[in-house]
Amino acid sequence: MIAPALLSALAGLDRTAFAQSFLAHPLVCATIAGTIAGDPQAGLWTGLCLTVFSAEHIPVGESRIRDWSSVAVAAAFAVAHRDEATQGLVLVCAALCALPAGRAIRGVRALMLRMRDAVDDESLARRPGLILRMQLAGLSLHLLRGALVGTLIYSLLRFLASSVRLEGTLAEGLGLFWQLAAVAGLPVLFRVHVRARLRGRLAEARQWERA
Amino acid sequence: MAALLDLLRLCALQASWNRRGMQELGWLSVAEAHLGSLDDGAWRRRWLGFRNSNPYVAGLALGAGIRAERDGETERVPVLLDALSRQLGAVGDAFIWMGVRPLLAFAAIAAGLWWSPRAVWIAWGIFALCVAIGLRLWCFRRGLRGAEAVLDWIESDRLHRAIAWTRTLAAVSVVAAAAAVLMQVGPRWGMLTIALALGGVSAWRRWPVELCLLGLLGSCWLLAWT
Repeated sequence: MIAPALLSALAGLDRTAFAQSFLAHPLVCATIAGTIAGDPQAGLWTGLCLTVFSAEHIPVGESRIRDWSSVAVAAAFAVAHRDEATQGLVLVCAALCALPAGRAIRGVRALMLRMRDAVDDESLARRPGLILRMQLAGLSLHLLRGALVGTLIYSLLRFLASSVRLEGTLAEGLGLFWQLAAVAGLPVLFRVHVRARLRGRLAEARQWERA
Repeated sequence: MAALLDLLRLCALQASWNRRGMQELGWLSVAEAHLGSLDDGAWRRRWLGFRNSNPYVAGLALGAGIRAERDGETERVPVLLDALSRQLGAVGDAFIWMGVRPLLAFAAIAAGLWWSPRAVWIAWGIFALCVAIGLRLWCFRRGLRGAEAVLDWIESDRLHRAIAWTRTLAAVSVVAAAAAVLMQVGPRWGMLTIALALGGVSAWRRWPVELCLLGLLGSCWLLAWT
């Protein structure tokens, strides 16, 4: 329980509040979580699926905030050394948890807004210590949020993975889902990165012709 | 030591991000280390306000603002910060969010599936060292040389060529990652067609990811059932 909480806290901090060093990317934090749990391949596949689902997402400014980092850490720990059906079940539940987990980020931001509104500009200009204190408060809130959300999701996923008995066609379907989830996200990736780039190149070529 | 403190403050640019001033307090905390001893805090009033930019390259605007304050061009500072932060936001988003980050992520996926999950650790190391630390410090140092140095960089052909190339390479790495994923799944054409068709419709109709996943889950269950 300590490792998911710790890694989730660090990823929660890295997401927007501090450094943005790529640790919060679902691929990276899931692979690290998988390596810690002793199953790096499952961690990599979990991270890959969640990366594909989150292809259109940028950590600041989106309207529907999804917390892919905490979800990736929790899912990678929960899928380690499980059969494919259980891994599929964990992946579905993890992906569905991303949106509710994002509510916590909105909560932290709302809290930061209230803190900022409570201090007038004149006080900030006269008391530089206040700026540092508010920065530290923001860092602590993001760290705490990551740890709490990660632990909560991990507890839920571990409970599901260990208590739900999967048999028959449902187990087969979930096993198939585990294998195919990444494939279903490929068209979105092509739309976001490849088609957009081709369009950009075509526009550049037309501009060049006109010039 | 001073460089380390600068780096820590630059890394915490978005620590207290909020909808009123966005990165405002982060900008103030970076400037505090350089301008804290200047006067009674008049400079802080000039720096307060709506501040938002790409966190990796915002150091350029910050450095330029600090330089202008030191040179006594105080009336120029708010306009300078505002104009540069907008331009740098656009440049940083195109270069980092749509270029370097997806390039490394999808190259790591391809290498991770074909070689070893260690590729992901390597990609993380490269990004953390070169972008999160290196680029941040370089931008701040360049910004301290003045606004002209920042504008030269923004307008340079090299930067725009680099953006175009990284975005093209990111698109290539997406193709490589897709090939690695398809090879991993194997030649099960029926299942692949269903998954790709569902993903295609989802991409075209811009469905939320949850809807696409539930659709795929239902299709997988039906496949298993039949």
